[in-house]
Amino acid sequence: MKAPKRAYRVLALAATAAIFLSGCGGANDKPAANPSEDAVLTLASGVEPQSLDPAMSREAQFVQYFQPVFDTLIRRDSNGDLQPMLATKWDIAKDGKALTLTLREGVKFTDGGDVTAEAVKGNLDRFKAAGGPLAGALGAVESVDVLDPATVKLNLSTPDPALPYALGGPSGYIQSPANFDAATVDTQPVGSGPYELDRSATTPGSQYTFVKNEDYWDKDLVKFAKIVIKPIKDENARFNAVRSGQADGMIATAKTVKAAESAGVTVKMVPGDWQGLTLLDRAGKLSPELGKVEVRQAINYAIDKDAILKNVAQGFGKTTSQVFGPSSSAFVESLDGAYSYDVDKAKALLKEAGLANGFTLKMPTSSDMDPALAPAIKDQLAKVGITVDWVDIPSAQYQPEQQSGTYAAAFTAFGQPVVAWSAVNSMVTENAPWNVFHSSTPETKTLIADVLASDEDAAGAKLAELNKYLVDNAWFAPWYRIDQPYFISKNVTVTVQNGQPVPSIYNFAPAK
Amino acid sequence: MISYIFRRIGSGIALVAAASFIVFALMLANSEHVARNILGDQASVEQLAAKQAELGLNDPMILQYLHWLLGAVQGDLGQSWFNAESVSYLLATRVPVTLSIAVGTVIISTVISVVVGIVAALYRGWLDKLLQVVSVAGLVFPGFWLALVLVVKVSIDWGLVPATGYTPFGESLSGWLLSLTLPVFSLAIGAVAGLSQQVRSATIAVLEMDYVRTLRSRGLSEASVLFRHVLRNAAPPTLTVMSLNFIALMSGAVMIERVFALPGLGSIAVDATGVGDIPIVVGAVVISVVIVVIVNLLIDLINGWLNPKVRLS
Repeated sequence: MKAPKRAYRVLALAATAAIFLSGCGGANDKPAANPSEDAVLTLASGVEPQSLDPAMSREAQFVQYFQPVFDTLIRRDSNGDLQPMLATKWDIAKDGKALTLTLREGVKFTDGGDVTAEAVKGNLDRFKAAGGPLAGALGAVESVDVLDPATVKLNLSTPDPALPYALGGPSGYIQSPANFDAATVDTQPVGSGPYELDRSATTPGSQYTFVKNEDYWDKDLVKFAKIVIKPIKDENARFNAVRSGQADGMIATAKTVKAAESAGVTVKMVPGDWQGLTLLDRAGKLSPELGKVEVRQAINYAIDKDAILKNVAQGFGKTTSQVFGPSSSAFVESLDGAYSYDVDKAKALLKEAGLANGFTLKMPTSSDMDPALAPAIKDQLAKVGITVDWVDIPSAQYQPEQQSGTYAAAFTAFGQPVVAWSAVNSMVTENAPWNVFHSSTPETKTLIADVLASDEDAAGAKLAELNKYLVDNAWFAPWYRIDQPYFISKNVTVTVQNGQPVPSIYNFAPAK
Repeated sequence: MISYIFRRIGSGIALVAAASFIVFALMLANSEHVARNILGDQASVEQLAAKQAELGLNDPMILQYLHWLLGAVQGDLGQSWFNAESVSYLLATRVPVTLSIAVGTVIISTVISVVVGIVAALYRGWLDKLLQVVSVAGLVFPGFWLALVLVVKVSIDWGLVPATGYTPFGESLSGWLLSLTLPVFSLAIGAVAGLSQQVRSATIAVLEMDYVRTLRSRGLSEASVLFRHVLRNAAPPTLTVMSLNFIALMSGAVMIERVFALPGLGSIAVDATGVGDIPIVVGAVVISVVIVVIVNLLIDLINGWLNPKVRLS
C-alpha cells in the first residue's frame, strides 16, 4: 500500500510549492472592471526608475514615471513651450541673476498638505543638496528665498537661460515635505500630481500603477482612471506587448517601424537625437592629431552621411553638421550642409595637417551601437587614411568609458534640447560633463560670456554664432538627427513631445 | 539520516560563503564605473566621488565584504544600488517567476521524456528511431528562437496566451498558467531532447538485466515488471539529469525572460552584473546557491527512497 502514501507526498510537495509561489508574488495587471468608464493607459517603457524620489530622477524616458505623481513648477507643453503649472507666473531679473515664481494657491498634496512657498523652497534645496543625476540643473541656484506664502525667489550665481525649462522637469517636481525624511521617500512618492502611486499594484522592475487623484486641481490633465507603466527593456518584447493589446504605447527604433506599420500599429515621430562622432580631444591632449582643426574637418568630410542615414537609421532623419536642433534658438539651417561627403577634400586637409600617411584613432564601441555602424565608419575613414581602432566595451560600461577621458573621440547620440543653453551646458562649457578634456578657446569663452550677458532675444544670435564656431572648428562630426519613433495602440491618441523621446503623460488621451 | 541532512546543510552554508566572497571580489574589481552608471552622464566629477564614498567603494575590499556578511547573517542582504528597494524584496518578487518557469519546464519535459523514452525502449524498431529523430530535432531549435516564433503565432495572431509578462499564482491560477505556457513550452522542447534519450537508454539497460528476465519468468505481469521494478531502477540517472536541467534553468532562462518580458532572477542578475549592482548580484548568487543545494539534497533523498542501496544510515 505504498502508492497512496507516495501520492500524498507528491501532493504535499506541490502544496508547499504553491504556498511559496503565491506568498511571494507581487501584484500584477488586472483588467479594469469596466473599461468603458475607467480608461486605463498602459505604457511599455524602455527604462526602469532607480528611485521614485524626485531628487534622484532623470529626464527623457524617465519622466513618465514621475509626471503622474508630481506637478512641476512650470509645465512644458507638447511644443516644449512653457506653461503655468504650480507656478502661475515667473519673472527673470534684468541681470538674469534671479528668478521669481508666483505660486498657484489652493493646491494640495495627496497627503492633505498645502503646496506653499516653503514647500517649494524645501524641494529645491533638497534637490540641489541630494547630489542626484541632475543636481547640476540647479547648479546656478545659490539660495532660495520665501518672499511670501505664494512667492519664491531663486537667487543665481550666474544667469542660467535653461533654468525655467529645467523647472518643467525633474528639478521642478514638487513633493510633499512630509515625505522628505520618510524611509519610503524613494518607493512611495507623495506629490500633488494628477495620479497617485498604488503601491499594492506595483512591483518594482515589472509594473508601476498610478490611480487617479480625485481631488486634482486641473481636471483637463486627468484623462485616465489609471496609468500602468511596465519597464520592458527588449524592444521586440515591447512591440509584442503593443500589438497583442497588452500596452498602448512604447518607445521604438527605426528598424521596427516597417513591422509596426504592417501590424496596424500607429507610428508617431518626434525629432530625436543627433548622432555622429564627438571629437572630444580638440585640445590634442590624448591624440595630438585631433588637436588640429584640419584633421577634425577632414573627419567631417570623410563620412558619407547619406549612406549611413539610409542604411542604419532606415532613412528616418535628416543629415546635419550641427549639434543644435531646429527648435532651439542656436539653430542655423545652412549649417546642416556645412560638411558634405568629399573624400578628396578630406585627404587634402589631412595632407595640409602633415598627416598624408594618416593616423590611428582609437574609439569605443559596444553592442548598443548598431552592428552596421562600426564597420561602415572604419571603411569610410580608411578611405582618407585614418585607421579606426574600435575597442569593444560591455554595454553597461560604454557611456562611462566615453566620458572617462580614455578616448579622444566616440560615437554619441545626444538629445537636442529645446533650450540651446542646455546643450551648451552639457557639451561645450569648460566643465560640461561631455567636455571631457575641458576644451576651451578664447572664442568659446567670449561667446559663452556674451550669451549669458544678453537678454533672451539677443542671446539667440550669440548662440547661433557659437554654433557656427563649433561647426567651423569641427568640435563634433555630426551625421544626422533622427526621427524618434513612438508606437501607440488603437485605444489611445497622443501628441508627441518636442525635445523628449517619449510623450509626456498629459499628451495621451483615450481614443474616442 | 538526520546527521546527513545537517552535514549537507553545513556544506551548503560554506558554499554560500565561498560563492558570495568570490562574486564580491570579482564585482569589486570591475566597479570603477558604478557611480557614473548610477548618476548618469550629466553628473559632475565631484558628485561621482561623493557617490563612490557613499557606497563604501573606497573601503578595503575585505571590509566591504565583512560589512555585507554581517548584514547577511542577520537576514539583511542590503539595498540595491540601482533601485531603491531592498535586495531581499526585489529577489522575493523574482524568485517565484524563475521557480515557476523552472519547475514547470522540468515537470513538462519529464512527463514527455518518460513517455517517449519508455515507449522507445519497449518497442524499439521504427518507432524508437522516429522518436529519437523527433526528440533530437528539439535540440536543433534554440528555445529563444522557438519562443519568438511562437509568440507571434500563438499570442499575437491567435490571442490565446499573453505575449509578455507574468501573473502571480496567488492572483489568478489561470492567468499564472497562461503566462507560463509559452516560456515553459519553449524551454521544455530543448530539455526533452536530452532527457528522453537518458530515460530510453536507462530503461533499455535495466530491461536487459538478468533479474528482469527472472521476474518475467516468475510470471509477473509485464506492467508490474515495468512499473514496480524497471522504472524504479531506471529512475536515478534520470533524476540526476532532471536536477541538472533544473539548476541550468535557474539562470539559463535569461533569453526566454527577455522575449516574454518576465521579471525573473536571470534577467535581474544579468542587468545588475552589467551595471555593477553588487548587492543584487551577490544576493542573486546566494539565492541561487541555496536553491541548488536544496534541490540536490531533495534529489539525493528521493534517490535514497527509490533505491535503498544508496541510502546513508
